[in-house]
Amino acid sequence: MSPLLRALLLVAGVGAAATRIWSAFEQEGAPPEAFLEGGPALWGRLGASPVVIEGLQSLGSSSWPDEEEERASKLGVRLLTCMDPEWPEDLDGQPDSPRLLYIMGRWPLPGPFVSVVGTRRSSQYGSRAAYEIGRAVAGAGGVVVSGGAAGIDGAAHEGCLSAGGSSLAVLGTGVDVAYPRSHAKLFERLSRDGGLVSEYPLGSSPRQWRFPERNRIIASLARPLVVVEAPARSGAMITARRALELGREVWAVPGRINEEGCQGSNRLIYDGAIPLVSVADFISLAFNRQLSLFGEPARTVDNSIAFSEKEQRILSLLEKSGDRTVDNLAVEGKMSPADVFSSLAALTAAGRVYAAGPGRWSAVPK
Amino acid sequence: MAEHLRTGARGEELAASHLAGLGWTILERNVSFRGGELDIVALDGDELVVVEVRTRSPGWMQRAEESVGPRKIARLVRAGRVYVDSRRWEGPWRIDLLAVTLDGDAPPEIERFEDITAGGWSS
Amino acid sequence: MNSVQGITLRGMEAVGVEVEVEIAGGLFSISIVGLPDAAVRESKERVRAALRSLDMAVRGRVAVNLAPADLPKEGAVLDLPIAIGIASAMGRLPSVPRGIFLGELALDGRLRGVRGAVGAAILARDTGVPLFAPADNAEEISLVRGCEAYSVESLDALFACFRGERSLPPVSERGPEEERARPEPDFADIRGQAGAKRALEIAAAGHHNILLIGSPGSGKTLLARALRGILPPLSHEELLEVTLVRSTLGLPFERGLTPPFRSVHHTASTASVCGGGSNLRPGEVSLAHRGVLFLDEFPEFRRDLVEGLRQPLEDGVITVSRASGSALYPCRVLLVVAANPCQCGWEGDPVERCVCSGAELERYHRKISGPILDRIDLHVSVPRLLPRELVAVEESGGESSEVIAERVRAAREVQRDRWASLGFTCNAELPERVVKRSLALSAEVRPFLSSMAGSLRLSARGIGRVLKVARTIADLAGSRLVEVPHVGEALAYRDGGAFR
Repeated sequence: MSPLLRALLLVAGVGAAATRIWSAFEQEGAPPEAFLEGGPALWGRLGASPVVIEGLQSLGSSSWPDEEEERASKLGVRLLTCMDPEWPEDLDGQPDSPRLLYIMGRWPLPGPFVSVVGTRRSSQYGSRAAYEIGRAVAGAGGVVVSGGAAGIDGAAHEGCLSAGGSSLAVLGTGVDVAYPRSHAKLFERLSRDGGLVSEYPLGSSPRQWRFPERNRIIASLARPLVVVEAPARSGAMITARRALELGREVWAVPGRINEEGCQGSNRLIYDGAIPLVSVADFISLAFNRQLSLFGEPARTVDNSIAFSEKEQRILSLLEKSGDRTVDNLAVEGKMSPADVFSSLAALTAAGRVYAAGPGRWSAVPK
Repeated sequence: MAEHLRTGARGEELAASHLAGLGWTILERNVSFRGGELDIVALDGDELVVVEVRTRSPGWMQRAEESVGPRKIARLVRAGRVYVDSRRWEGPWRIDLLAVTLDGDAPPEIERFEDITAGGWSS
Repeated sequence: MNSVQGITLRGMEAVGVEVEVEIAGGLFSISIVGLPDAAVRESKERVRAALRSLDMAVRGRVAVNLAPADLPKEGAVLDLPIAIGIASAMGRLPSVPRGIFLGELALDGRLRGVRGAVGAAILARDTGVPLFAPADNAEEISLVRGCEAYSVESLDALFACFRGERSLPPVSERGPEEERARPEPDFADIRGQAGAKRALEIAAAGHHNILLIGSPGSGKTLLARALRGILPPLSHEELLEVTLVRSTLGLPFERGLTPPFRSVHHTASTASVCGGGSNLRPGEVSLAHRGVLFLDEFPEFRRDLVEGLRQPLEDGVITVSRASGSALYPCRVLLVVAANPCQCGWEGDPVERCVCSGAELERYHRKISGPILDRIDLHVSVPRLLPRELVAVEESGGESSEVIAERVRAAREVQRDRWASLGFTCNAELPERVVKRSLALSAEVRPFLSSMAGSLRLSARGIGRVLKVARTIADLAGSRLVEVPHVGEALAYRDGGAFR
């Protein structure tokens, strides 16, 4: 094991807060061995607290780093250090920049990273918007980065994977921990068709402080960041603030002004974030600058399916108005409930409408 | 004779004539044997009746019929059994209570409570 | 020694009990042997008082034997045969005619209705003896065809008949039932909800179990209640089955041919839902036999209760067992399950705000997709209509239950004829292996389904259910083949298609 990896594993082992010590150490320009040899005296000078010093000492004298490396190789987890040629440069340059990543899945992932974040308690509308953005990013050749959480995060990952794209989840737990549990299947697909990334040792369980910490990674990787439905005080807002500090472009999906879940994301728009009023426009604006690199963006919505006259009638009704019940559609479309159901099923299968609430349908945002 | 015993004797006298008035045949009075005493034994048609007579003066806190508790009934049932066995009686029999209230020279009040065990004495 | 025949219940079945009485001299007492329960033991008080009201004073030691000795006897139903036995042993009756006697005695000698009269009538019919039953039970007994039965008002009337002084009114067989009662509530009375109404029509037509998802106030319960009004009316046999279960519980006879509707709350005990208790009584699921069983707030139901219902609902019978024995009850029900979209009930509502946390939502959705749900062919969500939406639908009006019931009846007939050779009566009963072979799919259905299966994430089992529902939709439309539009509509009711 390289001295660098050993040193970084020790730092990861005592907690992500210790990365600042490593930054201070890097300033001194000494080789990594010096960190290990320096001992408590050096660590103290770098600003480590007594607890961290004690942790470094006990971990350093144990066989934990070797065991961790062995566990990682057994699980197929790659330990990527900041000196690796495949290290993403976007992560560098901050005093709390991560220096070591656990990666499960494919690496490196092609294409620009588009971070999509938002509340775990998303509305049907929010989830659908995130899903469609995920699909569109995948269609344009990008990678959706998010936090793997329930709600917006999950919908964005799902959308991206469903369009055959690669997606990256930055976790607040060890990469081998499925949290939330309901996302176990999603994580499995991500580790196959994308990646799971974490700066925490294997087996790290969910802890409240780790989620805001990992948000800085999502923000650093974002080119650009999209916020879908975020309450005023939320992890997504932490991510957005960080991205703005880093000079990343921030987009926000407009929400209803009376809904708590949209207050943060709406406020971002007021403060200068770009309102995401059309997925297609977002894709062309966000990706056109890099057209030379990635070529023509692919079509995101499959229009090849020919809809029947009734299906088109339903679709245009839904596109014109907000959500609609079967009753509304039957009356306004002048057809039987049976025909309405039949049309809705076909349109759902084609990804053009979705259930916005019990008994209500909406057109998928374009 | 003590006052209450005299009252009791008069009550039984009144009871016997009352039962005779109903058309019953008085078989025996004041049958006493080892295991108990029966005030009156009579025949009501084809049924033998063991009659317990309770005599009271007015003003007593307790009514005559209330003075016969479960222990007294148990004793009556036992005594009744010994009696019907000793007399080789094989027909149905029952136990009645006759409450006699004496109030000086006023006409006595007589009340009869039929079959006070009412099947509740199955064994 | 005379013996008089009475009955006791074992499950729904009436079992003959021979009542033998012997009277000996001694201090008055009545002892009853032959595994009587508390109600039977208490009958001696009622019997003695009733006999005394006829001027028959019971004297001496009375021994009542109930045979067979090893069969537990329950209830007041044995009052009448015991009274007859005692009166006869006292030599106060000329002769007792052959027959089965049942009834509970009032202290003045009147006869009260009893549980199990229908079972007794079936026993009387099968053994070819006349039945003497309380007048209160006459109506339900009249359903049993081929049973010679007499309605008894009081002990006095019965004894007068024995003495030949007068005759008892015979219970006449019930003719074909009059018109079914007007269903309550009627579909025409429910405003809007065209989608849910359509799904309920399909549920009734193919006997498909149905899940309704909707926020509080969306009218799920009302819709579920209305379902019974469009189900085919009960046949005579079905009415008898329904009445037999009710009679076992001592519930009054219900007129009319409308199938039963039973609503079960999630706080109900397993015994009250599935049946049980010391007497092995039938539960709500059996009272809903041939009708609708409604489970509101389904995710709140205890897991073990739901698990316990799974197999019986499949088989149409439920075995209720306890240490004292076991009994078999029917439970062929149309299951209607209702659920809120989330814990607080407001997820996706256009006005109210959902206050569930992410973890709560997740837990709720896990609960909702639990067992039994894979026995439910139709999933439909019910919107809570806003006032402006109600105004909009008002103009369109709605069909009455009667009109819908007629379509349902016709569709059922088609199904009965089609599946008669296979031994099924409706599409929902078809087992998986039969589905694909015998549904008469049009040539375009298969390619259509495979094009949809991917994007809608349909499992093989899910496709089977969709096809069954599609068959019913085709039957409602009077189509021999299942066409693409039928399958298209069925896809809208697929598992998870409603919402989430």
